Amino acid sequence: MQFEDFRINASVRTLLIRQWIDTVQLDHGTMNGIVYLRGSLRREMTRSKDGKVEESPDESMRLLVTKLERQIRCVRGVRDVVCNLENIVKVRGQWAPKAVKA
Amino acid sequence: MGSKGGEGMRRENLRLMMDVLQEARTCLQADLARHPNWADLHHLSALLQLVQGQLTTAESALQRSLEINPRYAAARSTLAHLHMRRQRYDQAAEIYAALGADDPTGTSGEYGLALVALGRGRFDEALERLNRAVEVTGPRAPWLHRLGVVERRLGRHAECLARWRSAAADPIVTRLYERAGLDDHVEPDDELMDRIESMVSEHPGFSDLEDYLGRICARNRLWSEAGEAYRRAYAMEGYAVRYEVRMGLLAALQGDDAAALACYTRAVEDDARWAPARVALGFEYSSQGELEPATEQFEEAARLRPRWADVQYNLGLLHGAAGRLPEARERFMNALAINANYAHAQASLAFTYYRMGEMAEARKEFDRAVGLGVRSSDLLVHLALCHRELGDMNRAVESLAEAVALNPSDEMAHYHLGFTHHVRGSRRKAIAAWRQFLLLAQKGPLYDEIEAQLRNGTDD
Repeated sequence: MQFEDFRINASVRTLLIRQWIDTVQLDHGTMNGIVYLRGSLRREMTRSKDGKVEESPDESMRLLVTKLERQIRCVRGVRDVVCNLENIVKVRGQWAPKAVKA
Repeated sequence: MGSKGGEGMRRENLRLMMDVLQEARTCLQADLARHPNWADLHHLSALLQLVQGQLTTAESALQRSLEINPRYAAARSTLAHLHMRRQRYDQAAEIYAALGADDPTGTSGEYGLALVALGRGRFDEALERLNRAVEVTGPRAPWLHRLGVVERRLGRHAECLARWRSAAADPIVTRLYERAGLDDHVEPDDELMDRIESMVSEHPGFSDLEDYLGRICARNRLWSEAGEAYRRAYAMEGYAVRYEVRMGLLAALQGDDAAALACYTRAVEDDARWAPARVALGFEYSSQGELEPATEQFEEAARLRPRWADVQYNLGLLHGAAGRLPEARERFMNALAINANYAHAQASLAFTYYRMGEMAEARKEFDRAVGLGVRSSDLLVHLALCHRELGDMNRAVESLAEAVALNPSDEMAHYHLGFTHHVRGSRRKAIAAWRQFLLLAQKGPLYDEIEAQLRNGTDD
């Protein structure tokens, strides 16, 4: 599995860039085919294709992390995605916002 | 920022640019709220305000930027430009002279002092200083453009046009000049000359703002507008390597891997000593599975910037993929020497020791990785295997139980837990763990092995 870690890691980086994730606040790494995300998941400001500003931050964050996780799992060779995020957590299979520590 | 063509198109372009500027202002405010001590954000804010003629607030933003980083050359240069706009030539000259002293090539000083001379109406001095700067940098488009401006001030119309046409020969900016109205066959009038002149700001620092505006456009999927902004940035600063990296990113955002690779390759060809270009190309090769080309780029980036932790980490992954484990270990250790809290490098180091069969070292590094917050069932399973190899069955069971609790669907955690219980003589626990494994695992050699174990019974 380590033979693919470098490719997976670069592919994940591309996915984060395409989603305009603030990579200063989010680290990612790949070990043994497992992708690790650590930090705070935040997106730089965007508008949707119809020009509307993003919806409420919570809903937006849920959609973002769900989409991101799905995209990462689709990268060839990825066995699992392990998230240790400060601002969002998976509870019983569903993503939910977490209060950020002051 | 003007355009050739009808008044309607010009108004549309102005409206679009005003929306982008408004978006940039909003984004910068959000970025500054998150990162109030980032000097480059305050500098960007100053540039934005300068574009809109807000000199007083721009100066405050620049002062804030320089409070955070007194040696920030871009902010110092922009402050000098602001002084120029207020005709404070002595203050501008002082800053430009200091920048020249810091610049090994001396060009930033010569160029800045050329601007001061221009402002004071000393056109011959301006021409002389610019020519000296061009001797060092080579005839890049921005310098040719500014030489043309000085020629125009000296009343040398033909020489001015010759300089601008030379600048326009640079394929990156040809379209900008065409859209501004520069034509080989038509003699421009004063209005057209003014438009061409204003196309490239005298202050190269505005290239940072164009870069930011380009990102705003790209975020909003305005791809061609983003490309235009990057061309304007190049027109001001003349660094093809940066232009190609920006265009490579634009291609990558649109999913065009081939174009991204071509742009990054051109970037490195333009300036092989700029580490970010090497890294961009290295990542592009990596994402396409090109191990050795990627390694070559990251090795060079590491040579150019040895304290870049991410480069060391990714080099470690590359060496690990090639089976060069001692080199991988060294790179992960380098990353940790730069940043002791680099959790992924810590975990990768542990896995590398494991692959090398050095279980005591691997165990130590796995413990450190867990301490840094890297927890997955896979990591805990490998930690448990280290414990088992070192004869510490109790800790092996603890780690495996933790792995199972963390991820009940990790079949390998159940597999190894079964064998660990078996070695310890806990038959029932071994059977229970193996049964869980069979529920989760797919058919294959391991499945057959455990089926056989359960069918034949464990040895007492």
